[in-house]
Amino acid sequence: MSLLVLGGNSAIAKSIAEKFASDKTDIFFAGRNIAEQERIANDFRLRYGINTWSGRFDAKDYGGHEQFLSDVLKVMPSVENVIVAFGMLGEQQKAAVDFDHALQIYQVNFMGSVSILTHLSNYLKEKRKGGIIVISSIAGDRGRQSNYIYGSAKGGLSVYCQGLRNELSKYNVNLMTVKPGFVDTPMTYGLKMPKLLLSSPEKVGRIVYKSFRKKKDIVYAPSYWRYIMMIIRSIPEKFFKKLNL
Amino acid sequence: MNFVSRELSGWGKYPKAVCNIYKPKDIEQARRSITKDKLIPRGLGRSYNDASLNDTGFVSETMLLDKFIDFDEQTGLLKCESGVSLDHILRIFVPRGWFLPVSPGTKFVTIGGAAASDVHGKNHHIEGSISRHIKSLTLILQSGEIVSCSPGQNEDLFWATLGGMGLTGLILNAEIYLKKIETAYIRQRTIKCSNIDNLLQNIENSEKDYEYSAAWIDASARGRNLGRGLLFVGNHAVRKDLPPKLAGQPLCVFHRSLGLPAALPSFFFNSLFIKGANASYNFVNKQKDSIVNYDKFFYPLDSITNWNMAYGSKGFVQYQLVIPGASGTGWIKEIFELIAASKAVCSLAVLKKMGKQEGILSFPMEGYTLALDFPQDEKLKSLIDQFNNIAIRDHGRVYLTKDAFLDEKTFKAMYDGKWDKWLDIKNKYDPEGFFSSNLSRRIGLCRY
Repeated sequence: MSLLVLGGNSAIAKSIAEKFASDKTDIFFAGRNIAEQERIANDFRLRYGINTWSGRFDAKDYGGHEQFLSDVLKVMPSVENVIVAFGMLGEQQKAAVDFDHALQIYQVNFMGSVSILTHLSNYLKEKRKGGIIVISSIAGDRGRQSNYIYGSAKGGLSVYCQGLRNELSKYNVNLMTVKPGFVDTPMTYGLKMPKLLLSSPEKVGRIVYKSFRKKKDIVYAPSYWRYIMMIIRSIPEKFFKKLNL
Repeated sequence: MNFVSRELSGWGKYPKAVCNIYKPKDIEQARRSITKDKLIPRGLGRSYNDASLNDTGFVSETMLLDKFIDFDEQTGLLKCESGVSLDHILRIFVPRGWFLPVSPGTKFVTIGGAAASDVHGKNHHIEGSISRHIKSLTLILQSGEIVSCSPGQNEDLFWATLGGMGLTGLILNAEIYLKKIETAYIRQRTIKCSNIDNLLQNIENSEKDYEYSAAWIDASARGRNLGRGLLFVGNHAVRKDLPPKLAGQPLCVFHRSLGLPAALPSFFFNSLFIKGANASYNFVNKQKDSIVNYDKFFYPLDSITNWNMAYGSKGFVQYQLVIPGASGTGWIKEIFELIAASKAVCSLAVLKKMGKQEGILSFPMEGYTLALDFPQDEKLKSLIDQFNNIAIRDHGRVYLTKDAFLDEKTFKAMYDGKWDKWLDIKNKYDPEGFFSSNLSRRIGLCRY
C-alpha cells in the first residue's frame, strides 16, 4: 500500500499516517518546509520500518502541482491513497478587514486543494482505484461571525468534495471528507476551546483510519459533532444572525 | 508564539505553580521559545517537585520534539529528539532485541528529562547512570545557538547538562547506546529478608550474580524486624530460560495500564492502614524464582497510569538520599527510627546499592540510596530536616529530581565543591541566567 500526505506538518495528518504506517504502508510526506518533511519521513522510517520519502509542496503554487505529482511518482511506484491536510487557520479579525489576508486563507485552504485534487483525480481515474481523505472542518457547516473566512473556505471545500466524490465513484475511487471538531494541535494551541469538546489528534487519527477502511463518505471526528452541527444548522437564520458563536 | 497558562506540578503534586507554557512543535519553534524571559524545559513532568516549574517566565514543553533520527543496528546507537520517551523507545526497539541500558522507575520520562536528571536504575552498581551510556547531546543555548557536546567536544557543557536539571539549555536531541537483549523477560529472584542486617547481607551476597537489584522495605516494621522486606534481584532472561509457552515469542512489547478513577480519601494514609498494607505485601510475597516480563520488573507502578492521584490534592513527597559506603550503614536504622518517633506515615521505602559515579551535579555516588514516600503534610518538613542533617553528617546528598524542601544553605552543604564548579560552567553558556526554574531559585543554583 502507498500513501501521499499533503501537509505533513499537520498533527491530524501525522496521526492518520501512523495508522497507515502500522499497516506497512509506504509514505511520501510533502509540505512547504522540506527539512520538516524530511524529519517526519525519517522518523516514520525508523519507527515503522517502511519506505518513506519527502518533498516540497506549496498549496499556493497551482502551476507547479502537476510537476509535483510526476516528481512523487518518480520515487514512489504508485500513489494509491492521499491525505489532503494542508491548511491555514489565519486570523478572522484581520481577514475580515484585510482582503489580502482573506485571499491567502482562500488560496491555501480552497484553491490549493482544488488544484491538487484536479491532478490527483485525473491520475486516480486512470488507475480506476484509490482513496482520498480530505481534511475539511465543522467550521464549514455554517458561517458564523467568529470564523467565517476560514469557515467559508472549508465550506467551499466540503461542497467541492461532495461533487468530486460523486464523479469519482464511477471510477472506483473513494473520497472521504473529514470534519474534525476542536482538536488539540499546534494550530490551535493557546486558543480558548471548551475542554470537554477537545480531542487529541491521536483520537481523530483512529476515527479517520477506521472510517476510511469502511469506505465512509463524510466523517465527523468525533462523531458527536454530526449531531451538534445538525442542531447548529437547524437554527433559523433570523435567530442565528443575532448569536455570538 | 502562543502559550497557555495552567497550574503545573511535578509527579508528587506538591508544590504547584501557575505557569506560562510554550509547546514548540519543531526546532524552529523551540528556538523561538527561548526569549529574554526565564525559561525551563519540561518533558513529561515526572520529576516529583518544582524542577520543571517556573512561576516567572516560561516553561517549554518538549513533547512534540519526539522524532527518531537515526539507529545503528551494529552498535545499538540511537539518536532521537529529546521529547522521545523511554516508553516510545521500548515499543519500537524491544521487538528488535534492544533495551535501555538504564531504567528509572517509570518509562514515562523523556530522553531529555532522563539526561537532565541523570537517572539511575536497579543496575546502578554495575552500569552506572544514564550519563555513562549517552554519547552526545545537542542543545539550544540561551543565545539561540545550537551546540553539540560530548566527552570529546564542549566536554564541560556535556557534564554540566547531565544531571543539570535543564538549566544549561534546551536539550534538542541525544545519542544513547541501547543494549542487546535476547528476550523481553527477566529471571527474577525474590529474597525475603527478616531485618535490615539480613537485607544488607543479601544485597552484598547477590551482587556478583545479578545485574538488577532493589529492595522494598516495610517502613512500619519495628524493633528486631526493623528493615525487614523483600529483595528483588534479576538478570535478563536468555531464550533457554523461557518456558515453552513464552519461548515462541521471546521479544514483545508489554504494557499494562489502568487509570485510577479518583483520589483516595486522605484517611487511607493513616499509619494503621499503611502498616497493614506493608505487612500484607511482606506476607503475601514468598521467596521464589520466577520469569517476569520487563514491564512488571522495571515499571510495576506504571500499570496504574495516575497512581500519584491516590494521594489526593495535597500530594505526596518522595525523599531520596545517598550515603557513601565509607560512612557505614547505621544511618538506615536511624532514619527508620526517626520516622517511627515522628509518627509520620511512610508509604513506601526502597533501598538500592550504588556504584561509582562520574558527573558534576549528578546525584548518585558509591554507597546506598534510600527512597521514601510520604503523603504531604505540614509536619513533614521537620522530619526531612533531620534526614538532611544525617545526609550532611555522613557526607551524602539528596536527589534534586525529588526534593521538595531543600534550602540554599543545606543544598550547598550537600553539594559542596560541586555546585560552584557547575555554576562556573552554567555562567559560561548562560551568562544571563535565563534557564531558571522554581527549583534552581529555591536552592540558590543561580548565584554564588
